[in-house]
Parts: sequence; C-alpha cells; structure tokens
Amino acid sequence: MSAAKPDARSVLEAAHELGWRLPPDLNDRITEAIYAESSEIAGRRVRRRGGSMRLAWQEALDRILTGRWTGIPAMVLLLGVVLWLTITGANYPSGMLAELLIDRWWHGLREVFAAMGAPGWLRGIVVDGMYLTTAWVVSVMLPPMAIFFPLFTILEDFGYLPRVAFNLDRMFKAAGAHGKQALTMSMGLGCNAAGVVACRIIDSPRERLIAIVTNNFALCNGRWPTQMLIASVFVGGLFPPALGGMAAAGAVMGVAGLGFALTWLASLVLSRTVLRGEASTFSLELPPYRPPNILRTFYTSIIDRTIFVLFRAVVFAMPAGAVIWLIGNVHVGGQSLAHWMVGALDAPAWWLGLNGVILVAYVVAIPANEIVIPTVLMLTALVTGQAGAGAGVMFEVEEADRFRQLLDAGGWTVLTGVCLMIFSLCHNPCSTTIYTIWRETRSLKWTVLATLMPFVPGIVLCGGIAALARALT
Amino acid sequence: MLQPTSGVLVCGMRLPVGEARRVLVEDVLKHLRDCRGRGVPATEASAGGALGVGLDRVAKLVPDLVDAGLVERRGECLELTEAGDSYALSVIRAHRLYETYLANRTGTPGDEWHRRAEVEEHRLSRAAQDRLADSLGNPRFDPHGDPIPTRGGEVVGQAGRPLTGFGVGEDLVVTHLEDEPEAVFAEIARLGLAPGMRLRVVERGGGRLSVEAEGLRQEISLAAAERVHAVPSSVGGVPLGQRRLSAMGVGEAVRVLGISPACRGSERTRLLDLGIVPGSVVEAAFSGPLGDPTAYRVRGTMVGLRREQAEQIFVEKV
Amino acid sequence: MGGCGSCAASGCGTSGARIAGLTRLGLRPGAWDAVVGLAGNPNTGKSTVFNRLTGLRQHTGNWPGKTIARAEGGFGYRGRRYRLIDLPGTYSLLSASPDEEVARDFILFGRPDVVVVVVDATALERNLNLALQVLQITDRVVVCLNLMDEARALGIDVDVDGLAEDLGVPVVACVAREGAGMVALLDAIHGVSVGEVACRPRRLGLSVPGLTEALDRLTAMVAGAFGDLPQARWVALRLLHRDRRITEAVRTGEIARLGAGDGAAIGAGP
Repeated sequence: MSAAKPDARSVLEAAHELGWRLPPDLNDRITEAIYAESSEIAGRRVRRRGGSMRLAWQEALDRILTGRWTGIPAMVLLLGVVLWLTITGANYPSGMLAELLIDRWWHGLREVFAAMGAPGWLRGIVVDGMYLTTAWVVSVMLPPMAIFFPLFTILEDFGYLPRVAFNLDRMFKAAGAHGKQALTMSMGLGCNAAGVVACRIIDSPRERLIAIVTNNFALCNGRWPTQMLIASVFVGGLFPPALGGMAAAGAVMGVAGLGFALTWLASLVLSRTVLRGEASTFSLELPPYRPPNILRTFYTSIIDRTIFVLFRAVVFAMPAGAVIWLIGNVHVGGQSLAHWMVGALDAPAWWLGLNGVILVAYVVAIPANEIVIPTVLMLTALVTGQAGAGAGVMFEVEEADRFRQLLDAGGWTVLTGVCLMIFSLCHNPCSTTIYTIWRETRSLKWTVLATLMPFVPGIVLCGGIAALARALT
Repeated sequence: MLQPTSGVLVCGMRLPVGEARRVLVEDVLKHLRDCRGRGVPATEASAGGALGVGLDRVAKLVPDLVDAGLVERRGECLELTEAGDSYALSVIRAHRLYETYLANRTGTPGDEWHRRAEVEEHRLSRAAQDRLADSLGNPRFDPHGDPIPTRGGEVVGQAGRPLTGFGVGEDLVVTHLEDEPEAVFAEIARLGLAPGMRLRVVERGGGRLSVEAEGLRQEISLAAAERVHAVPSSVGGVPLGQRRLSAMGVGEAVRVLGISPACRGSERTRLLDLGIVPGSVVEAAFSGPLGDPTAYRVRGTMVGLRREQAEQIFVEKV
Repeated sequence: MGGCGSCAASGCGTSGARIAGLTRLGLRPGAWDAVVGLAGNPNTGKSTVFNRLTGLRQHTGNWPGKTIARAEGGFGYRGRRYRLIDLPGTYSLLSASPDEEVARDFILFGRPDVVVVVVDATALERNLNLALQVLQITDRVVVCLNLMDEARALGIDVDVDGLAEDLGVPVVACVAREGAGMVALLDAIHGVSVGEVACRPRRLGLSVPGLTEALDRLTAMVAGAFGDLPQARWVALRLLHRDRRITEAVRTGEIARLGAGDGAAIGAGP
C-alpha cells in the first residue's frame, strides 16, 4: 500500500492489523479523553454561584425521602395519601355519573327504543347490554382514574420514581433482581402493558425477564377501581363513616403491599430456579427534583392517560356488554347460559372464598380488567333476579350504597370482598399485557409462564383465607 | 432477542449427523487442538480420558473423522487437518464468545460461564456467532483472558506464565485464567481475579501464595496460582494498595483512579458513561434507607451505585 | 446565537402556545424538505422539545429511560417542512448497546439535515460527553441547552455564546417546558438546514497513549480511500473497534457517500 491510493480493502486490513495492538482498556481511555475535553469546556463556560436555595431544598428533600428512618415510611405515606384522595374524592363524582348515565340516560334510551318500536332483542343487546356496561365502566372508572393518574404523574414529574427504585434496590438485589425493577413496577401501577414495555430499561436479559414476568403483581389502573370499590363497600363498611375512607385506603394499600411482596417473592423464586443468576448492577441516575407544573400535569395526564385508558375500557366494554346480555338471555334447558355457567363455577369458587359470578366475570373480562366490576354487577343482578324490568337488565337502586345492596342479595360477605381483592391482584394479566409480553420476549414459554404464574399465589391465598375464615366462624 | 439464536453448526463435511454424535465430534476436535497447543500427542485413549467417554465410542468415531478429512492418523497419534483445525477453532470461538456474552450481558456467576458455554458452543451456528460477536462489539478476549478467534480464524498468541513462576515483590498483570478444572476455577472466581488486574506476590510458603490484588491481600492455593497467568507489569495504571469508593464515608470527596478489570461489558460502559472515569471527583452524598445503594455526586449529577460496584472503583483522596 | 434570556419576557407562554411561523404537523408531516434528529442524554427534556415542536404528546416524566418507543413527527417553519425524529436517549455513542446503535446509525447513515442535541444545562459536563461525540460524526448540529430555569435555580450560569464558540455550532438556551427559546431553536434549525449558518464542529484529538499513532495512520488511509470525509477520524476509530456496521459500510463503499456534502437525507430513518 506504499504510494498507491489506499482502497477499502487495504483500509480494512490495516484496521484489523492495528486493532490487535491497541491497549486493552481503550474504551476507558477514550471516554476519559472525551470527558477531559467536556470538563475543560464546562470549566470555562459554567459558573456556579454558591449557596442556591434550590440546592439546599433538594438536599433536605432527599434527606427525608431517602433517609434511613424516613425513606420507607415516606413512601408508604405518599402512596396512602394518593389512595385516600382518590377513594374519598371519587365517591361523589361517581355517584353523579351513575345517576346521569344510568338512572337518566339509560331510561331515556329504553324509552327511545320503545317509541321506535325496536324489537326486544335489539333493545336488549344495545341498551341493556352494550350501553349499560359502558355506562358502568365510565361511572366506576373515570372518577378514580381522573384523580389517581394526575397525582401519580405529579410524583413522576417531580422526580420521585427513581428514589423509589433507589430505596427498594436492596430488596430487589436480595431477590436477584435489578433495582430498576422498582421503576418498571411503578409504571405497572399505571398500566401493566406499559410496565412490561418499560422493562427495556433493564439491560441484563435475565433480570429483564424477571421484571416482565412479575410486572402483573403491580396493581394496574384497570384494577385500582375494583380494589377501591370493594374496599369501600366491604372494609370501609365495617367502620364508622368518618373512618371508612381511611380504612378502605388502608385495605387497598395492603393489597398493593401484598403485590410488592409477591413481586419480590416471585423474583426470588425465579432467580433461584428457571432464571438462575446473581443480581448484576444498578447504576441509576437520581435526577434533581423539579417542581411539577400542577395545572399542566392535570391537563396532560387527563388527556393522555385517563382518556386513553377510558377509551380502551369502553372499546372492550361494548362487546362484553353484548356478550353479558346474551348469556343472560339465551336460555338452554330452561335456564339462561349465565345461570349454567355460574352454577358450574360456584363449587370451585366456593373454595376460593369467591362465587361463580366472579369467576364468570373474570372469564368474560379477559380482554380488560376494567370491566370486571361492571360484569360482576350485571351478572349478580341477573342471577339474583334483581334485574328491574326484565332479565338481563341492570337494577335500579336510588341509594348511594347501591352496590352493597345488590351484592348482599348475591350472597356476598366480607370474605367474598377480601378474596376478590386478592384474586384481582393475582390472576392472569389482561389480553393487551399478554400480547405485550409476547412481543417483548418473543417466547411462548415466558408468555405462558407470565400468564399463569399469578394464579399460584391467587389460589393459595384465596383458598387459605377462605378455609381460615370458615374455620374461625 | 434475549438469548443468542441457537442453530446447528453446518460444516459442509460428509459427517454422520445426530446431535449427540456431533457434540462428541466437536469435543474430540477441540481435544486434539488442545493437545497440539500443549505439545503433547493425542490418541483415542487421551480423547476418551479427557472427555470422559468410553474408548470404544471414540475409536468408532475416528475413522469417520479421517474420512471427512478432519483428522489424520500419524502412527499412534491423531492430528488435525487444516479443515479439522478450522472446525475446532469455530467451536472455540463459539465457546469464548458465549462466555463473554454471559460475563458482559447477564448476571450469571463466573463459575457457571464455562459449564454453560460447553453446552452452547455446539449450538451456535457461524452466522449466530457473528451476530453475537457484533452485538458484543467484537471483543478480542474472553473473560478468562483467552483470545477469541476472529471470523477469519485468526488467534493471537497468549502471553504470560503461571503466577507460581514469579518472585516475591514483582508487579504483575493477570493475562489469563484457566477455567478448568471447575473446582480450581471456583477458587479463582471467588478471589475475584480477572484478566487485566494488577497484582503482586507478597509471600510464599505453606503450599500457598499471598498476593495483593488491586490493593486487597488474598491467599491463593498453589493449584489455583498454577492456573493464573501473568506478565510483569510495564504500563502505569492503578497503583497497588489504593482505596475503593465503597470505603468512603458520606460527605467525603475523592478522585477516581480507575475501574477494576473485573467490572466488564455493559456494567463498565455504563459507569464510564455516567462520568466515572479517571480524574472525576466523586462525593458520597447519601445512602438509601436500607444502607445500600449509595448516591454519589459525579460531574454535576447524582448517581446511585450498589456496594459491589463501588468496590470496583479505585479512588484517592482529593 | 444568544439565549432566550428571560423566558417570561420572550412571550413564550404555557402549553401549546402559538409560535409565529410554526405549524405543528403532528404525525402526518407528509412530504418533507429536511430531516431533523433529536439526540441527547436520558432525561434532558428531549421528549418535551419534541412535543413542543410537533404538537404531539410523547410521555414525559422526570426519570431516565422513560421514552420507550421511538417517536416521529413533523412541523413546518418558514415555509419548510421538517420531519423530526426523537432518538433514544443515550449517554454515549461508543458502546454497542442497541439504543446507542440506533442513534448512531441514524446520525451517520440516516444523514439528517440537522441533529439537535438536547443538553441539560444543570449537568453540562456529563452532557457535553455526548454532544462532543455527535460533533465527531456530523457537521450539522444545533445544541439545545435545555432546563435553563433549573440551572438558574441551582445557581449555575452558562456562557451560551462562549459555549457555541467552543463547540463550533449554534447553541440555543431553552426552557422547553415553558416553551422558552423555541423560536431561537427553530431559527437555528432552519439556518443550519438551509446552510445559512455554517458549523465548524470541534473535533477531538483523542490523544490516548497507544492509540494516537494507529488512529492517525488509519485516518489518513480512510481519507485517502474515500476523499475528505468530515468524520474520517471517527470512522477510523470505529474501524479499530471492529464496529461491524462501519466495517460493512467501508467494504461496500457506502461510507464515501457521507462526504457528499448536502445531506439529502435518506428516507428510511433509524
């Protein structure tokens, strides 16, 4: 290659030849050299004024939020406050929405259909099935979401999530998992599908799989309303009204805490068995706290998260509503399909402290967790015959605790409520999440494992609690 | 996406197929190459002994290998042909690449790398090897310091001699760790030795060596020391006897001298990216509520590190 | 290329405020005149800048790594239509992680007309590490010095003009959350993309013992083989690192196209 113009081949040959002789820590030295340059520029162009209020304020916050004695209690307290605000705040708008969408519009729609002379089955599917289920989804889901999401987003914008990961890292390390799993878990609190996608921030494939498979133990937005509603009705109901909200929030916290414990336990079991290995590393940037812009956060999180999730729920609720109406109204052998299904599932459900209606609801609601509660309510109404004008149609109760009355009629007890809360935590992920897991892992094995694994603690816990409760009474 | 795609090594030879048989073929070829490297003659018996299979199985296989043009018989001894050598080299490449993958990209403990790679080396096709190599940034050495053969089948020589051959007080750099036998390597892995590490023999006797590795004094058995290769250190670098970031108290500020060679792959890159490079000033800001990790201020940002990582960062007082 | 000074005074209001001359094209840029890549460290407000310019709503939050999916959008400014691509947030372009490869390949082979490097003004030293690396790969860079309000609150003053002088490319001070500095940013993007603003990016010497000699030799060979590539030294460095993509580009001669001046961007993107 003397004087001749070098060509591609000689360039590559030279590169290859020279490559062997480079120092082994070349990358370190190059990074060092670039940093030296950055440092030189920054040193020349950046001036730091001493004693900034903001810095002092951030340090003080970190002393509390990551402090030895205060870090964990502050975390529990923050979650508790968020849940309490959501539960107490959602009550009133929920009732208003129910009155508007169900008591008024549903009646209105029925009258319109009657006036048009529409056949009974059409009115049944459209108004009593699709519309009513959707109305329930909106009135049950919208208010808690519209409060919970903005609060969560404020914490996110503020810079709190990395501190959660920082605080909990030691525990995840003990379970052989990655510290950032605390971040993906937090994202799962919003939506498991998003949480599973967020697992991409974990570099190590082993730890990433652990995070993906266990993400379902983070209660997602589709399940928060179920938790809050059941907790308000059954746990809150055990206390005087003044304390009811706090007790309900405490119960939901308990379930969320159980979710964390199960995440930890499942991670531990996985990293001792099928995903053997040591926790690798944790290098997480802790960004400075930034004061969140509260108004804009409310605006964007309502637009981005709440409306999006609600839209998804509605999309799934409409066909599910039609299915519910159909299984309630198609009769085989003198009984509706719903009666047959509920009857068949009543026995296994009894062992789990649940009832057949709940299990049928979980089958119907595989597409989206959001519609479990509406499905439960509609099926209960069907089975108990509280169905107002005709079979398969939702009930009418004017009082505020309409749920309680209906559920009491369905034979529910505090045990049913508690077991439902646990089962809601420990069952298969929704179809979107299952699909996302498959897309992220491209592995049938891990998708199936992630889908079925939650049932193990679900069955053990529900069965155990039911047996214990029955033994004690 | 999560695991290197496995595939069957297609060699183009007229070899009888069958998974178990192919594995044996590849192991025999590796054994022959190993013998040649050590300058000892290879026979059916040595192969059977080294691989722990019956002599008859190897004996039955050899004629096929000769037919396929992979092995030549010279009297009692077996020797690799050029084709056989290149086949063996490709298996070795698969093995070392996979070990590098395990070390750099997964949390697999060091004493498991070899065992897992022994299985995976028979599954990685050449195309899969190349993909793996690209994704790892075409590494030159595996985590034991063995050179990884290139796509073209080149291997560089191996520098260094056993630790037992050096005198007390000499400054050394580890070049190579032998990964067999397993029990001995487990001791090496436990000591946290890694290629590129600087050490010095400080005392010998009683069937053991006392070494100072990256500033920590450790005892090492002769059997293990025999399998740790090193060369005299010439380049400057992290001096012996320095402190580690993990030993810093909250509020203390130190200057980074370097990162231990035991910290590899993406872990190392991430630390460098976050600004933990020689010369950076680092200050321990606070520890988490459970005592670990600790947040450090570095280059105007706050970074949380686990104790194990901080242990791999060498520092000096500002 | 001064900063926006006080953002309150520069009339950049709150969310979605109108910027004169800016049309947010959201997801449907249609045919475009120029391609702009958005690079930066994680958690520097890249997504916020993206949202500001396109009117889209990428997820934002204060933790590194939150942008998961790659986002693309468009905007029109001063009669030109721009396609904006939000690259994954990375700390560096040196290692072989998938994210860095996507960002690197786009900046090099996607031949964007402009690369906007979003830089956190509160941690300039760390952020310049990436910015300097980008400057080795491409000439057409605008540095968006974001989070100026945070820097001010932390008592950090940045000499914006001096920084621009050091880096050899326009530097625009911004508070993307408030929308401050967006007009200046758009002007800089426009200026670089039409060639009104000349960039003379700072190139790194990389004087590393044991490397310099090999790098000098190979750089000369790359330049000899492919003409005056702006990023010859960087290509040589990657070749020494056995970077597969770059080696392939040298083998096929694709690398020579990088020197072809005006980057009429190749459509595909990352």
